[in-house]
Amino acid sequence: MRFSHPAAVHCGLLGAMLLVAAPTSAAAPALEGASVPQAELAAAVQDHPGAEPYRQVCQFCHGAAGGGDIAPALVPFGFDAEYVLAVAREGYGQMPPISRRELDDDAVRQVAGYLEALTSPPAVVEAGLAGAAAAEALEQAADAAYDGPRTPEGQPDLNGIWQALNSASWDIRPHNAQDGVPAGLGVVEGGAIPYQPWAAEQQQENYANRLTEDPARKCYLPGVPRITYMPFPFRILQTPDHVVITYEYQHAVRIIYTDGSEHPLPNDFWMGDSRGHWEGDTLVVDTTHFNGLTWFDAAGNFHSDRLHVVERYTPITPYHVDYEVTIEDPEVFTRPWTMRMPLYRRLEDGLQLLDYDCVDFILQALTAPEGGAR
Amino acid sequence: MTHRGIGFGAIAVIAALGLLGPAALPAPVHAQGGAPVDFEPPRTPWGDPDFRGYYLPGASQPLETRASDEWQQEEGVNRGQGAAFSRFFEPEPDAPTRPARVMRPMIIDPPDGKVPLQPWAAEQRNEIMARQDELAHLDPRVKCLPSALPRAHLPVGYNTYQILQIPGYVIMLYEWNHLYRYIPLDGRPHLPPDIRLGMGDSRGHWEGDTLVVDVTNFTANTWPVGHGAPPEGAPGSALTSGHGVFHSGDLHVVERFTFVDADTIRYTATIEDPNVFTQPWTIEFNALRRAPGGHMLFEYACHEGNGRNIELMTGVDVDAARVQVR
Repeated sequence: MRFSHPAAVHCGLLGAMLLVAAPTSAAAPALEGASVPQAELAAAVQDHPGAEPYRQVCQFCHGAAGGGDIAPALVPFGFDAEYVLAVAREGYGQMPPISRRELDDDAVRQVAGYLEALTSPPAVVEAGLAGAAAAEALEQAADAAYDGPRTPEGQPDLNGIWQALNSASWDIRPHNAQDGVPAGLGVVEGGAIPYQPWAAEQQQENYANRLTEDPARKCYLPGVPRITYMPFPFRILQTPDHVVITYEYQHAVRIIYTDGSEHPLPNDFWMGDSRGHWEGDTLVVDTTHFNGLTWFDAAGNFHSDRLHVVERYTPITPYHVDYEVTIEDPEVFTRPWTMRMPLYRRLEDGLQLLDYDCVDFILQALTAPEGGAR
Repeated sequence: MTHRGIGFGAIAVIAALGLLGPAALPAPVHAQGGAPVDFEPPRTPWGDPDFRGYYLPGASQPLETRASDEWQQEEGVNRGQGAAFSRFFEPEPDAPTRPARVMRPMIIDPPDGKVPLQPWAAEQRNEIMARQDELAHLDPRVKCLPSALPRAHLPVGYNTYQILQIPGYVIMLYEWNHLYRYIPLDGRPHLPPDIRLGMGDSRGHWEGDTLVVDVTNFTANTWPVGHGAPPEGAPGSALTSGHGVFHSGDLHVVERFTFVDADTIRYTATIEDPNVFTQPWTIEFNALRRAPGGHMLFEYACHEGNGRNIELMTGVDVDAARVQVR
């Protein structure tokens, strides 16, 4: 490719001509759902072969990273490469034609590719930079958004009774209704759970046998994060060095140590061992030491004892928490994955946790007359 | 009950005898018996008496004076030991018989130290203890049902307590079977009478530096007392451990928690159930001893590890049952 003409020549020719209407404003646009500075994004995709030709030929008018200047912004970019080639060769409105000597056909297509990359960064860039920046931006937005009560230590006050409101407890994936099971769009970000091939088969076997094999049907503790989204309220008790969550379901208890202490010596627990800390207004809870005997839901989605769960509780308003859970288990999955759902503060006056003692139901089922067990 | 392999009864007895070693024993406890207490505990930042911290169970002592002296223990069984202990440790033929320890029972009222059961209830207690090999009669705590009160504060092996406080509440966490209760202090009324909780419904207030808790709304499927290990084969009327004493759900318990020194909480509980007892009765002992530093509550997965125990005791396969799940 060859690109040598100073772009200024082209812009200089534009003079007082009308600008072409552009699909977006000249201000640096935000990616859908996030606010990633264009400069950072450009840095992330700078290795793209179209980056340098763009800088040499297009940037003077169209701005750094397609952000717009005296010519319209090109990002988000929605044109196909052949259309761009036609515009470049023929010109468009005030934009003069670009000769093959400045940008040959391949170079134009690569510029188009570069603009696409700026619009929808490849997954590896997304995960590595844009995702982190987006998450941080969301967090900062969340931090700015939370204006509710705070504890004397300055953290959002999460004390009170909360509950999830979805059908994740039955099945964390998108699913249709069954008798007694509501439909749901799923809580797994990205849609599919990245099982290793053997584990995908195991999950199907679990599902086929769920009525007998689900450990929760034996009233075993449901583990984390299933305990969060079982359809029962739970109470967060927040003190300076502990966050204790007491659950109505089978009076389960999680003690989350926020005193900086480490996970204990090797041992395994149904509910894992939890150590927490605050990142801004987010309570981050790191849980390990699982025994591998719990499921994520009633549909057989499962894990091993190498499960590592990171929960992020971010209050958005005094009544809503953005609950994000990262699941990591190299024995079962091909990569970490995330569930996400809102948690809602229960508002009824004088509400308290009641009993759901399923051990009692097990015993009743055993001592019931014939046909009493379900 | 838990994944830990040692029999529950054996550990309870071993702990009761202090065989865990001096490091596990408390400092000598204070004299008990209702003497006025002069100790003033520190305050929380919002001014309530500060009960926060980790606590070990109190030293074991009998709950009651036995109702009847008629039953004698068989030869060859370690006197005063539980059945599980006997199976682990064969009695030495030449060892001198251990004299029965004379200890004041926890019951301070009625003065004779006996649980004031109505006559039908005393018979029922014997019946219950004779049928401990049937699932329906087996000790509810052994089945991993809630401890209820005051039983949750009676000494039991590998159980500790954590007391937390936030303005308006005292919260007690019980390591045993991960039970908990929130005690609101704002004078709100109890739950409606038809709502039942295994640990009852607690309402608290301060009387000076004493936490007074009123507990009602119990389910009927628990025992209010019972700790240590009863001798094998003993009828209810021969027990000093409280096993087999039951209640109707109209159980009403009023508790008082008072620091006698910086590390010791005296516990007084008045137990009332007009369907089962002839009168309200009261126990008192030092139930909570501050735990050493670094102490924490571990997970106590009771039901999850209990299947084999229940099968051995009753022949029932608990893990064959299935309940609904959501």
